[in-house]
Amino acid sequence: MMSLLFVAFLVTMMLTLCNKERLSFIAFGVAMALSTVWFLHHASSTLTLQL
Amino acid sequence: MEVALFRRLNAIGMLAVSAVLAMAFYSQFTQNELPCPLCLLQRVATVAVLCGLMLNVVKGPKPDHYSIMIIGAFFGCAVSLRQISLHIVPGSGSYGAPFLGMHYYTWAFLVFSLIIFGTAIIAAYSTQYHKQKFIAFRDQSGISKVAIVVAVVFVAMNALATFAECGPLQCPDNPTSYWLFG
Repeated sequence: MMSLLFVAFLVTMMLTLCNKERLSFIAFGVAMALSTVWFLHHASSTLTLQL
Repeated sequence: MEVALFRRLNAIGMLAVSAVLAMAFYSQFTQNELPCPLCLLQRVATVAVLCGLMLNVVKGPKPDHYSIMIIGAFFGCAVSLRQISLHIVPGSGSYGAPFLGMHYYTWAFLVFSLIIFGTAIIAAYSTQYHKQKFIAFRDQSGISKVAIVVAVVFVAMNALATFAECGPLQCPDNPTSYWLFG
């Protein structure tokens, strides 16, 4: 699943190279949102373990 | 002239950030230190910074491109601080071998902090924001071409290596072998 995050950023880079700036911003936003969700999910699960 | 100079500076920045990913790969493949989920998220943040740098190189420097870099570096700071906090209590151990006296996640926090600081300074030069235009890959300067190719290759390698390690499942907290080969 985590490899999808890298794929999402790779898509962002490809859109940049194809001069699709608006689409690359959207792809970046989606990739960052997925990364944040993943991070919060991981942080919450390890926090539960610590408590 | 100014725009070309800042495009070149951003290309150099891309190479420098790619070197961080290269260092992580070196550690992964030569010392067989498989990255944990938080380590992978720090790599993701590095790639996010690369996206902002690439936008500056390809489309020309713009404030929103620098914002992307800062958002990526801020995310990296949060993840690395989280990992530092997991190991900060004496006796709670650490993850991976130290490099020059500090662990990779501590280095990552310093690097991301430096990126935020450096971006805030370089973004303040307003003369770089004039006469923006898209430059196709074939028309880029030599250093920009190298920086773009290196960045894309490293991101693709990360996607493949992460799939080999974790597969379609959630990555284990302390990975010891590759999902694909184990």
